Amino acid sequence: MREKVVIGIYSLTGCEGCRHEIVNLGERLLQTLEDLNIELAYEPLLGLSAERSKYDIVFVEGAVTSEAEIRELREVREKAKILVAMGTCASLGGIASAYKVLDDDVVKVKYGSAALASRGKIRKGAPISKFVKVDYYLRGCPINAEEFLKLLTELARGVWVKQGERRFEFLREYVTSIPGKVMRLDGEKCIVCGRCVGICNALGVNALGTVNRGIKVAISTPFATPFEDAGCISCGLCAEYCPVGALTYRDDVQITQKMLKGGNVDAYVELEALASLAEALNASPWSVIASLKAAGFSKVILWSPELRGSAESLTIVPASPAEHAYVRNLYPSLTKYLAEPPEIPADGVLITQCVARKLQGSPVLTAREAEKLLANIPVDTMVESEPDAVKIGVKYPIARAVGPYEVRGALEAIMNGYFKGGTIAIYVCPGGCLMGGGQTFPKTELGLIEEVRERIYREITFRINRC
Amino acid sequence: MRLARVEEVDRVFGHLELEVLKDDGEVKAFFKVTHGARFIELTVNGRLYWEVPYIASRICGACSIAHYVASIRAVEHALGLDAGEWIEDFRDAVNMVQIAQNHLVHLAFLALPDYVGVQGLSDLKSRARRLVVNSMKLNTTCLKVIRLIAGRIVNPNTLGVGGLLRRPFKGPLLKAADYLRECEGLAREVVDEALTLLKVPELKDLANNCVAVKPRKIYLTTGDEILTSAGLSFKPSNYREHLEEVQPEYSNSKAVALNGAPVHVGARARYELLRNYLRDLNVPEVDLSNPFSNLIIKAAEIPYCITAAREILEDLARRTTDTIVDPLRDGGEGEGVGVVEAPRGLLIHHYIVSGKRIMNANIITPTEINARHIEASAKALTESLISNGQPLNAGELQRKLTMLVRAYDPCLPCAVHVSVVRGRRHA
Repeated sequence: MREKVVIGIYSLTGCEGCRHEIVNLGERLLQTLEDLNIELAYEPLLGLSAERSKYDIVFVEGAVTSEAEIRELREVREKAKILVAMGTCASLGGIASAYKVLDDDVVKVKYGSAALASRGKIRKGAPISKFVKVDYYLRGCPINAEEFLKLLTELARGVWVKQGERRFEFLREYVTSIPGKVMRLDGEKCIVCGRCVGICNALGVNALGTVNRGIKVAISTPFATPFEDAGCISCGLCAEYCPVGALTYRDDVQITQKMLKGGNVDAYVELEALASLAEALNASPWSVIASLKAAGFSKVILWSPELRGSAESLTIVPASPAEHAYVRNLYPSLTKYLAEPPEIPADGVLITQCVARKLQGSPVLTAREAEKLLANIPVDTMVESEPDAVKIGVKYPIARAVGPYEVRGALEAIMNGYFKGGTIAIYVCPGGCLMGGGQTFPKTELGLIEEVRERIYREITFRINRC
Repeated sequence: MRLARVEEVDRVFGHLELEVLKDDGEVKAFFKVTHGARFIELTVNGRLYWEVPYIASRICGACSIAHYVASIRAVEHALGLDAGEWIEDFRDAVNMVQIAQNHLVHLAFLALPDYVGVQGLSDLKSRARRLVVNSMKLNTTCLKVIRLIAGRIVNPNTLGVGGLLRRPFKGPLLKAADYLRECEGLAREVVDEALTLLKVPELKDLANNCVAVKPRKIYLTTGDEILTSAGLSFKPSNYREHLEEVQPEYSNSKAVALNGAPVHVGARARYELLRNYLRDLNVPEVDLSNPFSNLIIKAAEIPYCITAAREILEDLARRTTDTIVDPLRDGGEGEGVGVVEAPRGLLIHHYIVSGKRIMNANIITPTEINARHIEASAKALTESLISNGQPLNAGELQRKLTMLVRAYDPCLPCAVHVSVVRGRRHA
């Protein structure tokens, strides 16, 4: 049998409402103590007033208002393995810290001269964390008794916080992992920083959000449905923003490596992806092409998608499947004007900056994955090599809307009937193709990435045009 | 010479020290409240008047509803508002359920271990299992009712100045009444069993001086008149002429005297003064001049409160209401005093409102009023033990003294809502 867990409940200056809540648990409290082999050693309210020299868990209620209480609190901290601040007073100071002035005159009038004589010992109420280290907080005025029981249960079961672990063990049941065709969320790794939710909101897609409250908060799609059903457009920006790698997209590196061993595989490289790779590997684009050949690709073909439209009727041309999904999910009434997304080459491996193209086939490598593929090749010392072919698609459409704001404006204008004909290409990704979801880990200084990539991109297009 | 000192009295809400000295042949008892000060009256100063009940209810976690209601009534009186009979009845019902619940916690968890001869709740459970389990069940039911009609157990949130913040629909009221009806039998059972265990010690209260609020309707409803056992009757607004607040040097709490004499408020005082307003309170034969009888009356009040609250709630559900749901937000000028019978006795909230803000506040709580009475009783108890002729047993005296203090059920956070601090424990 496990050793007894010894707990104590101490109170400083407060209204005792939190302890009242605990006492009111009544039978459930006693049952919990019995079931989990917990010994409630110190709680004067229940007649347990003999202090111990060691506690496993101590709950402290109330704010600190005098020097004596600071001493008492420090003593208790010494004795306790885990210290929990209980209620608003202990966590934040509460009512005891709410008065504005302790003006001498006011005190004299209201409290008599005896108060003045003892002023030296009065402190304005302060949270206990000001004086000692606090391990857990139970918030609320008063605390929620259920939350108290939950925390007590989990702590008593020995589920302490482990150093280096991203999430507390006892929250595991609230971890949500979301599947998807391209995007995946691994709840175990998630630290609930909310960056993915921010970018998803900025796009207006709102596939990701926070669920639950308090310590149970997690990132999830609505009702934890797979990404595609939740309106995700697979732009991949959340994966780009995720600092811990909890959000990822489908990894095609291994399939590609297998294919390369079989031999005779062509690489189609999108111009933006080439610029991004060159920036990340600190090499010229032509060295990158040589490296790709060294990695096993038989031919390297520079490629860009062909955006087709018609001049007669109104057509919305999506730059990628992401835009296609965007219009389908958010502007369903415009689906009739929507053209198919540009096709990707069927006879090779596409290296692209756009995660959404992974929806169209396999294998499709993002620039980041291509970087992994080239990990063992000394790219910057490779002898430059020319691409074997260039397949640049016709950029037929006349009008372009770039970025979420322009796209939303354009789509709403179409919805309101401002356009009767013509073709418009939409690029919803706020990063643009150069800063899209599949980009490499940037090596350049943060503010300059786009500038550097753009310079390389111009270099590439200039050279292609000259050929 | 120090006869007894209890550094931290347990099984009371808050921090309390008790000391009895013998000085020049005279016994002196000191009721030293060591709970820290929070200066509620200063906090309230300058606040918007509709915020005040929220702050006031946080004076005490055990009887937050009584503070809440007293505070609302004081502000209403200051602004000249009338909330209407429906609301007043509703407040009475909430207050009564809370009184029952508070008495239950006090009786079963805090006081009874003394009389069974055990240290705490878990020991009591092994000795009187059925009583403890039943009273916990009853407690849970009361809490369920409070949560249903007042929003929360501690610091409620449905009541507001001038009306209700959330309209209680007929369904919840009837459901609350149902819950109460179901536990009426249980309450009687618990109290009967507790009363067989309660063999209170003999003690004569020489200054039998009691104060209580004259109810509007039946026993334990709110009212606007204060009665004393000297036959005096005065308006709450004149409380300063009769009740005098003194700040003892040794305590963090003030002490109150009625025309210079110690005074008792609480269940015993209520029963003594307001017997005429009772219909059915099954009180066993009891010597009311004994301060310990407070406990017995408390026990008897539990089934009464449950039944009375149930009847009020049923009545409220029958009467359709056009309750003011939105709290009024107009300011005004005035001074108002609100009095309520809290579980532990008379509670006074006094505010001066100017515009929308509170300009001055004074709060007198039951424990403050009882402080001097406790000292007097402790003195009488010690003297009776000395006059027995037998050598004084310090442990026995200490046990009897803490028993006496618990019979009053002091609530120390209430007592120190305001006042001076002379350090605390170990200080």
